Amino acid sequence: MPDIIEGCLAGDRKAQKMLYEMFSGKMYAVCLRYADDEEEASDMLQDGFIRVFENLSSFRHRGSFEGWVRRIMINTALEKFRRKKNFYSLNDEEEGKVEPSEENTLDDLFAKELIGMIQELTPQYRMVFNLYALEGYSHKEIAGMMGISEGTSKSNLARARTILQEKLKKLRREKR
Amino acid sequence: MREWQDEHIDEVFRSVLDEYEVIPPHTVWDGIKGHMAGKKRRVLWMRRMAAAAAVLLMILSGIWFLDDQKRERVPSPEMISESVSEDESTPVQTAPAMETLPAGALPEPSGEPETGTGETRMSETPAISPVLAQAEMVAKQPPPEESSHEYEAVPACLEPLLTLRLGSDVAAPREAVDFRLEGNNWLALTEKEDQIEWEPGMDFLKEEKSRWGIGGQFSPAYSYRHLTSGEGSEDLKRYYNRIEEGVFAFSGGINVNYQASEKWSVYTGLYYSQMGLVIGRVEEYTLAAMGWETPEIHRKMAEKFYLVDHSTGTVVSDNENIKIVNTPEDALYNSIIGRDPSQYTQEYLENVNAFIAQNYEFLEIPILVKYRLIDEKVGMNILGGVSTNFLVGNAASLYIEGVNYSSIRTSNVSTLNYSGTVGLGLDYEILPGLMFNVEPTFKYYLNTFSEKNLIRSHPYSVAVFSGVRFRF
Repeated sequence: MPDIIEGCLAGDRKAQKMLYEMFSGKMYAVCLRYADDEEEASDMLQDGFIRVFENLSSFRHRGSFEGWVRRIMINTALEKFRRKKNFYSLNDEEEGKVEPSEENTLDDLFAKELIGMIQELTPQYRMVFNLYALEGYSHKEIAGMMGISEGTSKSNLARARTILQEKLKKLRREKR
Repeated sequence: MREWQDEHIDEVFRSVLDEYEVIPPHTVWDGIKGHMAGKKRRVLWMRRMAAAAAVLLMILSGIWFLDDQKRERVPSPEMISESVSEDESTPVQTAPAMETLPAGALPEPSGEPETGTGETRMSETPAISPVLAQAEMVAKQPPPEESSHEYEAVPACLEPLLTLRLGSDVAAPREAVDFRLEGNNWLALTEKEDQIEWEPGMDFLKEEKSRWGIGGQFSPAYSYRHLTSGEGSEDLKRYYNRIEEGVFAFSGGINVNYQASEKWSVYTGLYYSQMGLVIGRVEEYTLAAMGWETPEIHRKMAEKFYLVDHSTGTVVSDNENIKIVNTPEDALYNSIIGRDPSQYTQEYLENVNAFIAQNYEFLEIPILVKYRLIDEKVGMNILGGVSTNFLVGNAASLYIEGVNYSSIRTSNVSTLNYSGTVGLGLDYEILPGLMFNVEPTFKYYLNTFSEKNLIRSHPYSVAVFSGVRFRF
């Protein structure tokens, strides 16, 4: 891994490609959870990786590199969210869901179903749920990151959970 | 059927999506590659520019260096004439030096693209039924403790740097990572304190967190004074407390604040404030009442004198219709009577239906520090600080039987005073960046109001400020 990073720092295209291939799958899955759709997730991933390459010199080889890349992706998602925040309607609970385009296995289907459920949440509910439930941030941290109050973060999480519970129950009924 | 419970639902999603991977479209890498190539071209262009600038700099340095040497070696006309006049036979030594720098000696300017399949992959993930079964099992487990997400208080010594703790790492997604704001930059603090990394993409945080604010406040205020004995007796203190009372006034001004960290902020500004007191006991006497009819006293017989004595200073009258003395031993009294003050007795005084309202006006420059206790929609702060108060107004009115006599004031009052303030603040964000605030405060003058008084008087006020603050 250090060699790949060194290669990237030297501007080696092969090293950049290797690093991208190592993490793009996992990071794209992360971006999908934060984005409205696949197109936005792709943009997010692209912007995130450009930041990774451009700021690689600031990585100090002390923590997990994957964690560092992941945080950049989340920061990118947060930035997009904040930029678009004023255009979102908080009352629109149902967003346009992206149907899975290809389904290889039932496992994939379930994971994609879950991602679809998250994508159906409003942007703010989705962001709060992702940051709290899947990334492990506290409400205080989320409030600081999103520019909302802790109370709003808590109520958004509760609402997101309720919606997801309903969707999961519905999914279970359909699968039985 | 069992309901999915709060944290359990989180675990369902986490267990399935934590290691989930999806191959992104090939256009993503194409975009990255294109961007990086453009950047590389920009870097090459910048390198060429830098090289050209370096060459130009070297040339200019060379010109300057040679020119400087030339100036050192070429003597001034005065030096030449002096050397000739001293010894006509001695050849002028400067000529060869000039020859060593011909004009021509000056340097001349010298100028693989792979495509994604769009397929998804999941490693070591069970089939749907086991996954759902696993999800159900998870749902039956007790909810995980949230303590791992809790915000940890920042040690005071780290203020005002540390503001936020964020936490996530892929290897250990719920491990804490701190962020601190240093100057204009957000720094990420990983598990160990010495692991500080700049985290790209955090710029939006500093953009959103404006540190400066401006505001205005207004408050009705109750003001009075606190007495300590000083050189005076406890009896005198009790007397003042009996005849004086506080007044309601107002205070208001504008302020500027700087958010030093998430919790701490500093305020300063310019405030106008009123303070004062009412002296309820005014005694009237005339010389005639005293029964002395000497010729000089006779002249004054028609005049009335008012004996006024209060705790914050000495009352003087600029109103020629009002004669005021402050104590029975007053110099004025003695000069008229020409007798031993010990002969003075209370029986010659008449307590009239009169009072004096003394009002002081200040311009105040406060320096307050606020600490945010509750950071919610309705927030709470505690505040404290000191103020410099400049006395800009000093006026009193004497009310006798309902008639108001002005042009009276208290003398020997400190014009520069220092006060301490403590308080509690509540605020509510009515619009983005616009806060409404209510602040009950207590202000106490640290120095005594009049150094010459026997009783030390410290004015104080209780105010409930309300106002708005705009973050810009």
